[in-house]
Amino acid sequence: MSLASTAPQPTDILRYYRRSLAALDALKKVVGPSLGVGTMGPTSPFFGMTAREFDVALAELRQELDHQVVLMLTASFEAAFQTDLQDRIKLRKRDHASKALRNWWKSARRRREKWIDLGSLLDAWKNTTGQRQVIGKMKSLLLFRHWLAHGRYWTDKSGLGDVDPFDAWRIGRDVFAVLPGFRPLPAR
Amino acid sequence: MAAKEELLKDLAQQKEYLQRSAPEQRVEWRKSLKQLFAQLAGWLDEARASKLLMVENKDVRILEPQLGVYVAPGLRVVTPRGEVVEIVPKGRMIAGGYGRVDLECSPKRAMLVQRSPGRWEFAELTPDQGGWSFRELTEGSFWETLRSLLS
Repeated sequence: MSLASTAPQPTDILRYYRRSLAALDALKKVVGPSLGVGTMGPTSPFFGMTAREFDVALAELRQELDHQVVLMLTASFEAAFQTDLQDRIKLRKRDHASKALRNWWKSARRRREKWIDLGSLLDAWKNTTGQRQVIGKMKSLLLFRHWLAHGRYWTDKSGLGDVDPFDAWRIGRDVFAVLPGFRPLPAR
Repeated sequence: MAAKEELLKDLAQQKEYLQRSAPEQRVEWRKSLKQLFAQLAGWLDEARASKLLMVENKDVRILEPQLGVYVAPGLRVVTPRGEVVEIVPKGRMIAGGYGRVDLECSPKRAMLVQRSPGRWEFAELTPDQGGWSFRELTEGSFWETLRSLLS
């Protein structure tokens, strides 16, 4: 497997999220003054909406943005875990965690697959470091990610409630702060 | 606290503006609706007199942040089979116009928008993200819309 050098980093995704929130705010400032006057063009999907309908539409946009960014953020966390594992295997790092993960990987992988499901990898980290709580939160986030990624057709079982990107960021930051060898995420 | 004072000052100005302008806007809007519904009722009169349609006046309570709560006229049109078309104002403060009235026959809906004062048009969303198309409200376009809602 060749690793891409252009995979979006968690900080890239968070930046995209902030910019998108600013875009939603700008949208509100554009539509607001057009209420009750004929200044909106006939191509706008918001044409004809009452103030309340527009508020609902904005809330829906925000909700969908949050969900999509949480999905991307969690995917970027996964990428960090997977590429870290590949490094520890290829470079044969000698620290305790790397040795333990290499040994685990040899028995866990099927045939010659290099990619490991993240849930199992997180369990291996939990057993290696004892960091049950932060890894438990990451596993819950993973469940939420599965719910999003598979079309949300079952009831979300993550136990996290409605996760927004800043919540997901905190979970990622807490994990990468305590696992050896990872670059910590900035505060926000 | 400068931020608090500034915000409270803005809010006071908003309140004062709305208290000044809202009553006049409500009066104009209610007048506009009265004219519109008188016109619609006139077009429906023949069908009503022949008992082909039942046409009832109704009051619609509307809450708009900028205008407060007010009562507006509406119409309920019922066919011999019991199908109902509700003709209801949705608000004066709409995006891109001077008021909107919906013709609702669930799950279908048609939108009448006052794009300029006194000028009502049916607004339809065109497919393939083409935006909105508009048809002037005339007796002909009204009956076409009613037929489409009831078909």
